[in-house]
Amino acid sequence: MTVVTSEMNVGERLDQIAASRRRKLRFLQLTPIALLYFAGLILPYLLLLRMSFNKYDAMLIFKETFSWANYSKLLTDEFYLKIVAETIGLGLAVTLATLILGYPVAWVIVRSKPRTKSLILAAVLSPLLINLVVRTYGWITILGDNGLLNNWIMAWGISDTPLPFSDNFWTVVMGLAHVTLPFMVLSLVSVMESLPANIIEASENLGASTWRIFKDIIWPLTWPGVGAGSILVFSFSISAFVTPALLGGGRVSTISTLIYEQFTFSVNWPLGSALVFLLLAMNMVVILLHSQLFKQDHG
Amino acid sequence: MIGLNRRDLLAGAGVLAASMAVRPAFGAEKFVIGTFGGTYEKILDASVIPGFESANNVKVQKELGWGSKFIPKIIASRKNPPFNLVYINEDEAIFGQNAGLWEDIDTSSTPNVNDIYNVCKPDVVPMYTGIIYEFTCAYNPEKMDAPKSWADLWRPGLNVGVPHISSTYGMIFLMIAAQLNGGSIENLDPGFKALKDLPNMKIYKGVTDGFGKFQRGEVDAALFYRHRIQILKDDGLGIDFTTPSEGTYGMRTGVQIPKNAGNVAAGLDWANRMMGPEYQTAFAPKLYSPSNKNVSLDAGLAAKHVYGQDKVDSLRFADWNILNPKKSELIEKWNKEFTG
Repeated sequence: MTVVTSEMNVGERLDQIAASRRRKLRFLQLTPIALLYFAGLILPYLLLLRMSFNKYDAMLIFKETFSWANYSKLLTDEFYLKIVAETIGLGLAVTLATLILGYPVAWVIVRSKPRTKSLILAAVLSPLLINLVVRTYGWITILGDNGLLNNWIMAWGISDTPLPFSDNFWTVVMGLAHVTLPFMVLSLVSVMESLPANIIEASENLGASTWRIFKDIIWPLTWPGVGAGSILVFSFSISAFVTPALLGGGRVSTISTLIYEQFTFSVNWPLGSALVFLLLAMNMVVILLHSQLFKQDHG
Repeated sequence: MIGLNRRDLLAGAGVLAASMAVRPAFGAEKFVIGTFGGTYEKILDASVIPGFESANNVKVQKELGWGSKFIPKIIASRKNPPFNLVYINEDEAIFGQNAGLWEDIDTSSTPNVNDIYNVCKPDVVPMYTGIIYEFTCAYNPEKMDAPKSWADLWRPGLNVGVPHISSTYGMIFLMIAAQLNGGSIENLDPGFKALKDLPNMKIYKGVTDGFGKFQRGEVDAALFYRHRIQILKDDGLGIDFTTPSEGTYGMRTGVQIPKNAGNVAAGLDWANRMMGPEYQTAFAPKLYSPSNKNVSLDAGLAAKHVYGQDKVDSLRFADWNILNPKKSELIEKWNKEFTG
């Protein structure tokens, strides 16, 4: 008996040692990235957090103090609340646009032969291969008052004056949808790939309509892909800076463009820092809501 | 096993020596400047940096951008600023002066300062000035006659380019709009109201955006950099510029040495070179107008420049001691009025 116990003890101890080694190894594996995150993300955020409680001063840039004034300004001033709403609206519009555009594309990719699949995938990924600024100016060339689209419209006599395609909210939505579409499509493709084809065949054999197959089978099964794609697209869109700044033509403000203006032109760092945390809080809320909405049942 | 014979070693040593020979500044101290990109950078590379490096035994490293990008970095690291020298505009020079960002001006080491126009001297604007810009009234002659007054931009049917307030000239155009409508530099509200009254306002954010809007024919008139309009004119675009009865504003651009930057002597040498005729003559063909009175340009080129005492004296300059402290509140008001 004692021998067995001692054997068990030895076994347990070996297990313990192995577990501790694994922990150490995991710790070592994670240390470089943890250090990088601490030095490059957490520490700057802490500095910004402190800055957000300071007071702006036109001469000294900021005065060290501890005041909630910047946050109360952001949360009570109608303008900033409107910008928060618009930023969220922008994120939702881009997410919806990429979902509507990306879903059928992902479906076609999954159903295609390997060669066609690679071709369509390359086409979908192509926006990521073009420099952001070049891509944005491409849109300006197409959508401007004297752009390609307006020139056609006027040449065909549809309108005598250029139509306002540029410098507005929807131009920014389009520009962002262009660049975020690959994230949505790839997320959907990865989930659709694992969709068992025989389920669809079975439901077809049992006489389900195409709509019913989509609504009751395909959509619920691809829901995790929709979730993953949406969060990527939404977070990217509400934090984007260059596209709203260039395609908005000075007419579209988002929290990101305000942050940039506060840190550079106005040199109002305390308010800019408070805006950073407003954006961070928005991202957190979205991630929390997302985890609730797209909760995966592991049971 | 790698076999190395004497010939290989000699050949290797030769290559090493050659590579060191083409890098005269090898081992030299780094000298970081925050400067403008594009044409400006190309001329620096070709005409300024080689001579400066060998005279000061430094290796120049450039960070491209503009003042409003460099200044936050200097503020964030006052004790050890990331630049030895930065290019800035007059409003940024005054801002930095008030915020205590710059080394004291030292004209004893920069004799070229004696040859620059009085309005460019450091006691007028706290930096070493190398370029004078003019913000002219640009217009499309096919769409309108030359505006006699800035107020002519408010005529119905015109697409008017309005510089975003986050630029020096955006503030200046707002001020002009205020002055035309009973306001002043102290009271810019009438300017906001006037801009809202523009029949078709096309906001442009930065030079590239404005330049593009002119090239694409999206604006009929706008306040814009005179030299940029001249470039478009020279390219054959249907565009011209004029001086309205109220006059035009100018802007001075130059360099400053951040406090605690290190190697101030080299910084002063750069500042002195930049204020000198040789440096400014190298930039003149690309229409950067000289601050040095002794830069001599042929008549054809001179006509395209802000050139000569009379022209420089005709320019108005904004009082940034009044405008700078208003920037934060003005941009907020601007966003409230024109975005969203």
